[in-house]
Amino acid sequence: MGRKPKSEEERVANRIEDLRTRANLSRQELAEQVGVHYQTIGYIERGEYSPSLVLALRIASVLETSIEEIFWLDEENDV
Amino acid sequence: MSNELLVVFYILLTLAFAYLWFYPKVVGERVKLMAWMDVVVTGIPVAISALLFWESDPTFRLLIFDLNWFFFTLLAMFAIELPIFLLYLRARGLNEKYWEEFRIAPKGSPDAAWASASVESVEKQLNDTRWDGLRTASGKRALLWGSNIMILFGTGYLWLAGDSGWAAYALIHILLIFVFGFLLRQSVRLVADAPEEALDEMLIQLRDRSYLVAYRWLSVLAFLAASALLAYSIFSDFQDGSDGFNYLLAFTWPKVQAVFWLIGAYVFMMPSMAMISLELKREKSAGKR
Repeated sequence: MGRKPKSEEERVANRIEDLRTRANLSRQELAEQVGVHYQTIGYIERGEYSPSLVLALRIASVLETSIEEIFWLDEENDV
Repeated sequence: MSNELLVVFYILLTLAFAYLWFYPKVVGERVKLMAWMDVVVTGIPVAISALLFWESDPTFRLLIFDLNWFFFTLLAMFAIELPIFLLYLRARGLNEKYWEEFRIAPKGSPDAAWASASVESVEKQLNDTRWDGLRTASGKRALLWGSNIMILFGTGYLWLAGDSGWAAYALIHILLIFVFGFLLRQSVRLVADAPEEALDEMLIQLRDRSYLVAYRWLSVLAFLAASALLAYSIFSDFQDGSDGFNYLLAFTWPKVQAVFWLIGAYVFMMPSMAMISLELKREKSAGKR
């Protein structure tokens, strides 16, 4: 069993931006609370970076929701 | 008394003055000042040697090497002072405090031996917007092309310049390498040279991936250089009068400079170059979505 090529891998989609805005948090504020750089939050929101489980749990905790409510696999590229 | 013994004598006098009076009584526990004063203390025997031997310029014997007064004094000073210096630091309990001044990554960091940017400077860079022009796609591309063209042009020029006044371009070439190296580091916000304590998980992943790419490119460069050497040997074999076993590489000083700075520049810049290329690829694939 091997890994799929990067181009064929599913993207991790999320609704962080939506939940963050509802929680009245800026990227910088969320980044500080979860311990990353604010640009990393931007990359995650755009789906350009998939966070580790630890970071995903931290984000869920700050946004007071479950991981499943925030992240899901975008199977658009799945073949 | 031979010249060598004379130099050792005034080195010992200088060290006695420094370690028995100047450092303990005047400098005390100010380790940064001690580091600077060590340069001055080293300068004393070098200055005495210059006064005594500048004109006559005799040869000094150090074990199996013949040296001039400058290098003999410097090396003898280093060899005699080093154990005294280490013992002094230990005896005065300054060991930890002294080396802390030169530590870039935090103590115990897995990157302690390699990081060339401190946590503070990386954190400052991550929030700095002054160099954002170098962080746009076109800025990054221009930097990548510019630095490679600069390195290859300088190398080719110095190789072909011969041992003439034109080889003075080496000074400009070296300056340009440091300028481009600085700009590349600003473009990637020092991330390629940062200890992991300064980075979050995404930046660590990006930095680590950059080193993989940098290693691959450097291995190509090393392989090309080794292949050129092999090709030269084979070519030499086909020349008239070749004995097929002995090869003579005639390197002038500008040629040595060309090879040294080609390798040095790529070793210095490759991690940042690799990071820029990865960022450009990522931005390109994000644009396609």
